[in-house]
Amino acid sequence: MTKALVTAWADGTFVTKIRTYTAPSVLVIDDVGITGFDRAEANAFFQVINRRYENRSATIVTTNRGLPAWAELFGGDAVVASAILDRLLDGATVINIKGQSWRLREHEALTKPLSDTTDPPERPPRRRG
Amino acid sequence: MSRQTLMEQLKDDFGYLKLTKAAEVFAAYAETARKDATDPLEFLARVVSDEVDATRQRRLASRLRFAHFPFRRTLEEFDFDFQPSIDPKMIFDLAELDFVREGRPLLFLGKPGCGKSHLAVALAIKAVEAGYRGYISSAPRT
Repeated sequence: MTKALVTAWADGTFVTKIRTYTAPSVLVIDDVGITGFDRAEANAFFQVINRRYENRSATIVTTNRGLPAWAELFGGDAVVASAILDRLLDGATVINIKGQSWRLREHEALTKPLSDTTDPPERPPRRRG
Repeated sequence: MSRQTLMEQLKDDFGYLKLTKAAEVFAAYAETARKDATDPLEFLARVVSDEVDATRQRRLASRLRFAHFPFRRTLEEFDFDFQPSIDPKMIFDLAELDFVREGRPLLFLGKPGCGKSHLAVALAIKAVEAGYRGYISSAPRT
């Protein structure tokens, strides 16, 4: 979406292209946070969210990043990030899934030792004296 | 007009109106109606109802194609036992689509693989099945 819109801005087709994302009654923006956005992409993202907000159209966002990390995600632009979050959280339902990966469920034996090693090693008890 | 001529004219007219399903079924229904001597209204209703069903199916298929869902998974397929932090009732309430009617956002937060996209797509499919237009975009890829 954001890359397509930045390209469309450059070749003068932005006005038609953005309708792809503003016209549907339900837009799913999947996997926000896997990669970051540069300034132009962040602005394109805001344009979509803002128009959908003004038109009262439902937007579904999935993200692996906590909302406080969103500023960093949008090129460090806290103003754009908070403008986006403002509109995405107004009247929103937030579903916070705390569980583990369904895709990795069968590999628990393999991934568990990995995550165990990330815990800080236990320090030997300090001796007095 | 002979019965044969009438049939051909109907077939052509249905074709001109692009009522393909009606064109396909009317002859058999007409034959049944003649044999059973039923109310002509019943014959007409059967033909129109088949055409409506076919149109509804065709429109749904085209909305689903337009939406670009990367997979077609349903809420019923979701393993709620595996993710106890999700309240199934809350998700099935969302499937009533008030959030679509009222234009409210949904945010799914969680680690990769925890089922965010499955639920997001399944809810969007519910909306498309209910007649809404939907579209999915993968943030990192496009």
